[in-house]
Amino acid sequence: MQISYPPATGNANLDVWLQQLVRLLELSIIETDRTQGLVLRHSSVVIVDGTNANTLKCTVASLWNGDTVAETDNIAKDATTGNFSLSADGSALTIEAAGLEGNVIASLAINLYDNNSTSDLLVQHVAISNDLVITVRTSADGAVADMTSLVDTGGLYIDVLYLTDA
Amino acid sequence: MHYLTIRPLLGTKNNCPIDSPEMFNAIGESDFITHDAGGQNFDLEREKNSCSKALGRAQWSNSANAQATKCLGLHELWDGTNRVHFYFDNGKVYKFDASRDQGDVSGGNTFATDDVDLYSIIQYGTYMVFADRAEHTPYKIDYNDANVSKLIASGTEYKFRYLMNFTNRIVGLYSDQTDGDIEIRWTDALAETTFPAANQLYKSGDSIQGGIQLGHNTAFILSETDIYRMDYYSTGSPIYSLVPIIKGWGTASPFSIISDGIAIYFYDPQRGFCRFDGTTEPQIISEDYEDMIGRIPSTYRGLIDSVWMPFGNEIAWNIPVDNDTTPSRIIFYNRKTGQWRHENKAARRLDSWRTFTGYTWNDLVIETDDVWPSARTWAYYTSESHKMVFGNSNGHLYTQSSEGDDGSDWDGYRIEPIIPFPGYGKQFTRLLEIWMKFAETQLHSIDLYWRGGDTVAEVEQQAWTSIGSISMNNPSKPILYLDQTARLHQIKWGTDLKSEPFSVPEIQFSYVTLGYH
Repeated sequence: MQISYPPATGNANLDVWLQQLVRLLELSIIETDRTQGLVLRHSSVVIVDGTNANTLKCTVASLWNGDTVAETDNIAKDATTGNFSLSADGSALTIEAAGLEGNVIASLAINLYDNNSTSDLLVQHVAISNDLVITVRTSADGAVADMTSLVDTGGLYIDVLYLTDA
Repeated sequence: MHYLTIRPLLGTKNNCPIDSPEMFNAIGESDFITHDAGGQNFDLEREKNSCSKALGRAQWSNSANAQATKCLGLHELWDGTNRVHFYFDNGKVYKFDASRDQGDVSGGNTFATDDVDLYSIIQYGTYMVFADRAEHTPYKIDYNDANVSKLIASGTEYKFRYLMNFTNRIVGLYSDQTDGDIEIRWTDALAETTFPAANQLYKSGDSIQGGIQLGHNTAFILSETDIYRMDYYSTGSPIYSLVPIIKGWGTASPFSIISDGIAIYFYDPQRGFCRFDGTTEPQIISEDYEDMIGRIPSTYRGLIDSVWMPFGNEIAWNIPVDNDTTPSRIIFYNRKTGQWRHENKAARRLDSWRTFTGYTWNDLVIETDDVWPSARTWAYYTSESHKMVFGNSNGHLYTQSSEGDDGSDWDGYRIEPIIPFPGYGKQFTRLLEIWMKFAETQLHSIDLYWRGGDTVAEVEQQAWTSIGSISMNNPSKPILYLDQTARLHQIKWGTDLKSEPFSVPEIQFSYVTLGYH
């Protein structure tokens, strides 16, 4: 869509020209839920074997405008360790809002770019209560999988795109 | 004509000249028991009171494993009902199936892969537990598990170089923690899945090079320069205590440490092989064999492995010599007679397995080296008796059996010392006849070689002269006629082809003394 400049003379023409300009501005931004001030972020999440048995060691690093959470060891099941929580079955890793810049409004995309486990995996991602939750499932049957076992043979390396409110 | 008898019943002795009086034990005026002066692939245990050809090697595995690079561990797991066999090759773990093929049970893990990464493998309950020189936390597997899994289920996942099963606990030596090289940790009794933080001791002195249990409540922890006794007190806190007992002795070859249940044996880099009964000063047992021991390159002494052979009274170590970068021969020490010998077999790891049979005709062909066995019973080949097994670099498992080298020729011979004719070289001796006794009838002949000279040095520089052979097929006169005159005489005898075993208890020489010159 293009408009001419300057607008033709006359109030009627000016009204049309302004409507076209507003339409152009609307097209030039990402339309979300129209909440103002949302921030798009892109971060990596590294999940490796923890020092203690049946635990994880996780790190979040910014890829673009993202968040940083320092390496946290011994993330145990059914507990919160630093800015991470792990579900009782070891399948869902929560990155707590406290460790992020703003609250997570939505998780938009995720990519498991290096899988050193011996299983083919799917990664589910969702924003829950301002946190970012990553759940791992086996691609064979979609069943949730225990990450503390999966990382025995090597780490899981993920990047995730998400929106925060600040 | 005079007669002199030698009985080739002692092992190799290479720490003295080949005419030294120490090479003989006189049991009569002209009757001597002799040491070997440089032979190979002979055996003093297959038939008592005779010198036999050593067993060769036969391929036991049906196929090589997928790695086929370097054998870093062997283990037979017997849980009271089931017997399975494991082969560790270049970071992977394989389990033999009933067809003697190897299935990968590593669970996707790649464990340690360097030459020096010999795995410490123990049995605990129904599980095989192993450590890969502290590169991974210990893993376990039972006879039926599809894959290995981590041993430690809670608490810190320690990594250890060496493991012991001691007083119902798994003891880990040389951990990955701070000062871990002198650290000892252990599980609680019958609770093998965690190493509580309080269950820990440090030894003093040099880094731990391994440990071994001797008796019920005692283990010994060795470094290169000291030996500690680790005592168990069931009501103590901690339950173990460490007592330094020997300074200046030790090992740098962790897997050279072996026990026959009465004493421990190890390779001390300053002294050679030693025997330690746990209380008195260790004894050097390899003085007779110093020439061979001195050829072990210090860079690769960490590759030495060991096995105690049930029923045979022998302890075996694989050693590299000279320019070897991996072990190239297996040396044997008879713990009852104190005699040494060696077999030319390259092996990275040694073990003793009760190899299950499931024999096929093809297997029998391999064991008998294509020759229909005439002097053995079926059970000799097909029984499930314990055999020494070993793996090297091609992914196959071999047993110490058959009369060939994996179907190829097998050269076994013995070199007698300078024959102790009267005068010991001051006068010439004319050697005219060699009589041999055979403990078993064989279809083939035994080959003899001679060399002579005026001095020991001259004899040693002479090439061997073939002087013929003597049939072992029930000859009426097991004799070889010859006519060799020299001050000093030496013979070499044996067979160099496959399927040519021998068993010789006695050799007699007929000679004439020619007077002084």
